[in-house]
Amino acid sequence: MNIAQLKKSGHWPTLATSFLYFDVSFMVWTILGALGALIAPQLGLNAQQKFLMVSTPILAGAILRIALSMLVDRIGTKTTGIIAQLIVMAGLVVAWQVGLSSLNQALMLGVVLGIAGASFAVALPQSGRWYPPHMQGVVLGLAGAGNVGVVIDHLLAPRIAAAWGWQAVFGFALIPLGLAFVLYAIFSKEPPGEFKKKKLSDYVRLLAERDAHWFCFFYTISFGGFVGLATAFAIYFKDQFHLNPVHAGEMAAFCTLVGALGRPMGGAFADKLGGIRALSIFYSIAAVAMVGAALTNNLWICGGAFFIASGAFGMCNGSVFQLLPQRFAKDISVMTGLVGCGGGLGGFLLGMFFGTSKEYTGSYTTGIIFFAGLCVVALIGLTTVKGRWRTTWGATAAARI
Amino acid sequence: MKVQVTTHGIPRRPDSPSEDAFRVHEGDGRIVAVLADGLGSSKAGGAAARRAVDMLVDYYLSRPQSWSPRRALTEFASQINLLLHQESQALHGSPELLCTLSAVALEGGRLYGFNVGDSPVYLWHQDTLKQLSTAHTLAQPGMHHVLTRAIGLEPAVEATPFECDLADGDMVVLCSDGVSNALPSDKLSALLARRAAARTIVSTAAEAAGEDAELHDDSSAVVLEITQSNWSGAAAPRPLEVLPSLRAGESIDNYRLVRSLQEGDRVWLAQRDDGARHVLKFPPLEARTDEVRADAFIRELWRAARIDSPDFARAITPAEGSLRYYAMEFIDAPTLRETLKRQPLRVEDAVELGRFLLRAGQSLVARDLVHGDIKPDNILVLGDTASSRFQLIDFGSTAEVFSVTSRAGTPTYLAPERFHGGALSERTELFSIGVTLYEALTRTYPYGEVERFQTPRFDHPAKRPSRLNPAIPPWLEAILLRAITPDATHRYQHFSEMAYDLDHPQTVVAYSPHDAPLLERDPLRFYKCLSFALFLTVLVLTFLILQR
Repeated sequence: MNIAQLKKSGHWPTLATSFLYFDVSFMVWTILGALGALIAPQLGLNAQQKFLMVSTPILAGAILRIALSMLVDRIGTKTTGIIAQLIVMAGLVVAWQVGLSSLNQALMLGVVLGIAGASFAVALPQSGRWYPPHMQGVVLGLAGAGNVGVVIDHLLAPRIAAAWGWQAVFGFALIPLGLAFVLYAIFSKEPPGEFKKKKLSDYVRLLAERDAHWFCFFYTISFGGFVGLATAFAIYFKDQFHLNPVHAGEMAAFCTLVGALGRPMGGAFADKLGGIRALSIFYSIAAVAMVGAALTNNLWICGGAFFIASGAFGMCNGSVFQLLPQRFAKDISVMTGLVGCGGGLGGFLLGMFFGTSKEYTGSYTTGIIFFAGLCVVALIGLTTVKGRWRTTWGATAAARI
Repeated sequence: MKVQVTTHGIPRRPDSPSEDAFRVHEGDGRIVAVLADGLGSSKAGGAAARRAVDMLVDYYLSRPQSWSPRRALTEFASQINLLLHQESQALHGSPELLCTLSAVALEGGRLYGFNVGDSPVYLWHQDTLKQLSTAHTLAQPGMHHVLTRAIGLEPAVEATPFECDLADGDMVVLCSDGVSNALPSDKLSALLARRAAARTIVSTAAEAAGEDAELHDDSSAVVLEITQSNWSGAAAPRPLEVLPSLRAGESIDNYRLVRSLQEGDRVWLAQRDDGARHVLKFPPLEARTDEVRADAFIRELWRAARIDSPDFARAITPAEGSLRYYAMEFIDAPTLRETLKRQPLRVEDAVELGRFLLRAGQSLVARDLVHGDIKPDNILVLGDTASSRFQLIDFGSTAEVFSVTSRAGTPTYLAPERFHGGALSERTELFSIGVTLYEALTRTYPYGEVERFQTPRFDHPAKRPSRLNPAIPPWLEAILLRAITPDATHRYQHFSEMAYDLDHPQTVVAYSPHDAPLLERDPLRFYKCLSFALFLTVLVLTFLILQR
C-alpha cells in the first residue's frame, strides 16, 4: 500500500479535496471549545452554561450526521457537501459580523457548527466509494487525521483572539473553509455506481442487536472522552489553574494531539492483541488517569494525567474501528453512523458532567470521576460481549465473518 | 417409472487407465447420472474426474430438501469446483485436479442437468437428436479442444444448467468427447434410432476413430432409455421456515421446548411426546431477511444429516412440513470444557481422547468433510471414572475439506495459516486437535487465548506441557508439540500419522522446533561437541605450557 497505488486506483482529487473539507470542518466544529473561555465572561455565563455552549456543536454533530448520511443517499454526496459547507460558512459570517450577545445565539451557532461536525458522513462515503474494499483502511486512516483539526484550534484561536478579539477568529476560520470549499466544488467528483439507500428502519433494525448497543456505548466513552476533553480542556485549564488563554490552549493542544495520533496506533494494537483485549487495557488506563486527574490539584500532574487519558481514548477509538467493520461487515455504513452518533453524545455528556459538577459542587472532581465510572461500565460490557462471541455457533459465525 | 440404464467406458490404450469416470444411481423414483472427463494435460485429471462424480452423486442423493434439483446441481458443481481447486492449490501449488463434469437428474417426469466443459449431453426425442449441453470450448477453428471452463480451474465456475420434460421412448446420452468427436451427430442418431446401448455406442466410436491418433481418446457413455414414465416419488422442495422467538413450554410438531441451551434462544432442549429428549436447533432470526444466513443453515442441516457415525450426535430433520429445525439426540453428559473446570484429564484419558478425535476426523475425511470447530466445548465426555468415552457435537462449522478459507471457527483453536487465508484441511484440524489435547492435559492454551477478529502472532514457542503437568510422558509431549507447530509443513500431515504415534509410543521421535538451539534439540550431541572443544583447548594449552 503506498501513495502511488492510491493515486492510480480511484479518484485522488476527490480523496484530497473531500478530506480537506472534512479536516477544516472538524477544526471549526470544535472552535467554540477553544474560544469558550473567552466568550463566556462576555455573555456572563455560569459554569454549566459555559460547558453547554461548547458541547452543543458536538451533540448537534452527532444527530445531524445521521440526517446528512441519509441526504447523501438521496441528493448525492457532492450536493450535500456543498449545501453543508455553505450553511456553515453563512453561520460563521453572521457570527463574525454580528457577534454573539446571548447564550441562545451561541447555542444557535453551535447547531450550525454541528453541520460541520457531520461532514464525516459526507466526505467518507464520497471518497471511500471511489476505492476498492482493500483500500478502505487507508481511506479510513486518512479520515482519522481530521482529528488533528482540534489541535490547530487550540494553538491558533487564542492567539488570534488575543490580537484581534475572539469575533475575528470566526473571520479567520472562513479563510481555510472558503479555500477548501472552492477546491471541493471544482475538483471533487460524485462517486460512480449505485448505492443502497439507507433507511431509518435500517438503524432501528441494527439497534435490536445487543452487540450494536455495546459498540455504540464503547464509542460513546472513547470518542466522547476524546472530543469531550478536547472541548473542555481550554476552559478547564483556565479555570482550574488560572492560565492565560494562550497557555491554556497550548496545554489543551498538547493533550488533544496525543489523542488524535493515538487513533491509528490503537487500530494496529487491536489487530495484534485482539480488539477486546486492547480496549480493556485502554479503558483501564483511561479510567485510572481520569481518577488521578480528578484527585490532584497540581498543573503538571493533572496535565500529565489528562495527556494519558486523552491518548488512551484516542487508541480506544482506533480499536473500536478495528472491530466494527469485522463484526458488522454488511451493515458497516449504517453502523458507522450509529456509532458516530453515540460518540457525539458521549462528548456532549462529558462536557455536561464538567459543567454540572462545577456548578453544583464547585469543583470538577465529581464529574470527572463519574465519567471514569462509565469507563468501568464499558469494561463490564467488554466481558459480556467477549462471552457472547465465544459461544456463537459456527453457521452464524461463519456467515458473519 | 422404468428406465433402462446402460454404461460403458474404454481407455485410450488398453494398458493405461481411463481418465473418464461415470456413475448412475437409481432409487426413490429418481435417477441421477454423472459423467466426468479428466483433463489429460493435468497431473491428476483422472482422480479429479472420479472424485467429482462420486461427490456429485452423494451430494445429490442427500440434497437439502429446500433446494430445487436445478439449484442443488449448480450449487454442488460450484462447491466441487472450489474444493478441487483449493485442494490442488494446497497440494500442487497449481490447478492440477481438472475435469469436465456433466450431470442429469430425472425427477417427476423432468430432466434437470448441467455441464461444465465439453462432455456433451444429448436428448433423443421423437426421432430427433438434440444437444442439451453447451460446449465450453474456444470457437476458433482447430481450437475446439481447448476448454474455456473446467472443474477445478478457477475458484469459481459457472455451470450451464438445462432442463426439459421427458416422454416415453426418450433417450438421454452423456458421453465424453472421445465418443462425440468420433461420432458425428448423424451417426449417433442412427445408433439411437436402433435403441443402441452404451457398449455399442462406445465401440462404434472406437472403430470410427480407428488409427486416427487425433480422435483416439478415453471413451465413455451413459445411456438412459425411458421406457415408461409414470413418475412418482418426486420430492417437492420444502421451504425453510424461520420461527419467531421461542419460549419454554411451547409446542412444535410433537416436541415441547424444555429449556434454551444457548444465548440467543435458537438451540433448545425439547421433549417428544414419547418421552425422548432431543436438542432442536432452529435457524437464526436473521435468516428471515438474510439469504446468506438462511443458506448457511440449510447447508449445516444437510451436512449434519449426512453424517452417520457413533462418534457423532446423530441429526434428524423433521419428517414433514416445512424445515424449521433439525433435531439431535440429547446426551445428558458434560462437555469436556465442564470437566476441565474441575480437573485436567488423566494421561490415559487424553490419549483416548486423541484416538477418538483422530478416528472421528478420519471418518469425516472419508466423506470429504472436516469438523471445523474441534474444541473442549464441542466434545461430550461419556462413561465413568474408570474409562472415558467421547462424542463430538455441533456441525455448524463442518465443511468440505479445502472449501473454507475464512476464519470461521474458534480463534484459539485455529491453525496459524487460517488467519492468513489458508484453507480448512486435515493439517488445520490436527492443530485444533493438538490445542484441545494440550488444554485437556494442562488447562492452559499453548499460545494464549486468541480473541475473535484478532490476528495473533505465533512467535513464542508453546510452553512444554510437561512443565505444566509433570505426569505427561516425553513421547506424548513430542506428539502434542508436533501437532501444534505453527509451521504447517513441520506439523503432522494426516490423521493417520498422529494416530500411529499415539499407538506406538516407543517409536515417537523427540520433537524440537526446527530453529531451536542444539542444546535443546540434541543435548547429547551438544555435550559431545562441548567436551571435544574443551579437549582441544586443553591440548592447545598443554602445548603452550610445554613450549615455554
